[in-house]
Amino acid sequence: MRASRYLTWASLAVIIFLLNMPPSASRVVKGFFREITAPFHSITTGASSRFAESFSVLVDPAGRTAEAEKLQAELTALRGRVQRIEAIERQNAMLRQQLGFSSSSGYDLIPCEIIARGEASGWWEAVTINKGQRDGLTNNMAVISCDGLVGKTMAVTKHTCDVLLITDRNCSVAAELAGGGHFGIVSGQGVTITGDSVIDMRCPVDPCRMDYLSGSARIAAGEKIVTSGLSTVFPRGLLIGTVSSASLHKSGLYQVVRLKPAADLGGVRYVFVVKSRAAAGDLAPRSRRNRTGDEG
Amino acid sequence: MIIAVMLFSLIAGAVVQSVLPGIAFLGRARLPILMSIVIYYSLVRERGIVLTAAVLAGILEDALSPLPLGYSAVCLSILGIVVNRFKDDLFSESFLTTIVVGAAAGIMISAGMSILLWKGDLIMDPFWWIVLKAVGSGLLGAVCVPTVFYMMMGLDRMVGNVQEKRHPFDDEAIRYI
Repeated sequence: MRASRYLTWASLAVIIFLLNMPPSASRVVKGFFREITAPFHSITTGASSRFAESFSVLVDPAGRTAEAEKLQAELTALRGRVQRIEAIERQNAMLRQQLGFSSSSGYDLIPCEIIARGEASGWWEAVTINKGQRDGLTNNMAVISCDGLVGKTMAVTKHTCDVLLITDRNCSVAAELAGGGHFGIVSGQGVTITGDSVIDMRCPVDPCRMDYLSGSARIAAGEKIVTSGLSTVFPRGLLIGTVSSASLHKSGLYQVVRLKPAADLGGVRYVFVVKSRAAAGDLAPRSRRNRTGDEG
Repeated sequence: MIIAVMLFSLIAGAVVQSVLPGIAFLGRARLPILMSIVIYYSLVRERGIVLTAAVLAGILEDALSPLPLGYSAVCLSILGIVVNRFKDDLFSESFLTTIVVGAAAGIMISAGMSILLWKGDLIMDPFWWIVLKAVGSGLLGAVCVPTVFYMMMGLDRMVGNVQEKRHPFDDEAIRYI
């Protein structure tokens, strides 16, 4: 009975201490607990993906063969494209040298694996990746996949990092139409819709939308939307998605575009964190909306 | 041994909770495994153990999400104290009790957390989405709490935290030590 009373008072003291903890100490405590659970996350995610792969082979062997053939065809086509791009790169480098330009090498990309999808509370659209401070990651770095923009880093610990997806309502991205000249803000709508996951919602909620586009802009379905570089987080030119539909806002002041993210946010397994970027652009102040609990 | 079982179940529960995807048509509510473990302790143990479980579960949930540290601990502790207060008035090991308590707790925790997050300007979800999430948490709580309750009871029996006594007038009487 006495032990129970001590535990009660100790627990209440811990709660008060936690609520009044400075952000730096809070990050240390969070980091400690995340480090403890990170190996279990990796094991669980690895095992579940291997199970899913084995299960899909058992369920649909013909589909797997067809998929392998399709991938082989794609690989051949891509090899051809890579050879052409390499030739163009060589030519480009030679021309730059001749013109006296310094190399504007794009970005340093840190490859990462997603070790947990979603976060424990369910309030944010986020994934956890297997790289952290030790690999040079900090808060508010852009995260991309080979298909397009995935999100931005937040809550970085030594070995892991949370990535806030572009489909989260707290994530806003300064964007423009790939054609150029028309700018807006892409924000998430709180739900990641994927084509593959059966557990996701099957109703017409758009994962992302772009606001504040000029009323005079001509927008076609399927048009690409890229980052504009007018932010401190996302460098210019990263593909965000394609236009699904566009309509005039009820105020009549600007157009609203519904868009489909280019990256398969529900199925992506490997992503890249953009470590450094070209110095151009990215001058706007940080949005108040981009805050999350851990950023302090 | 009670603490060892608690730590093991909380860490395993936290990992499973964060790995399993949220269900979109239930407002992205996630399976409340940590909450279920706290409810289990609230229904079968004294207050000190309940609060210890609630604080540890809260820290784990906050650590594995962008939630500010302490928010979940507060909500889960209040939940634990309330359930523990009424455990003697309930048939604490009845299947129906766990379903009803799970549903009510899911809604309570979701509502409490949304108030804290909204007040802290940390979420931008519209009201209908929060209501959907609360309803979803209630439904998932009704499913998850009974499952976790009987799993935890089995685990406690296996390691000897529970003594089973045969009584001539009862089918089976369980005493938690």
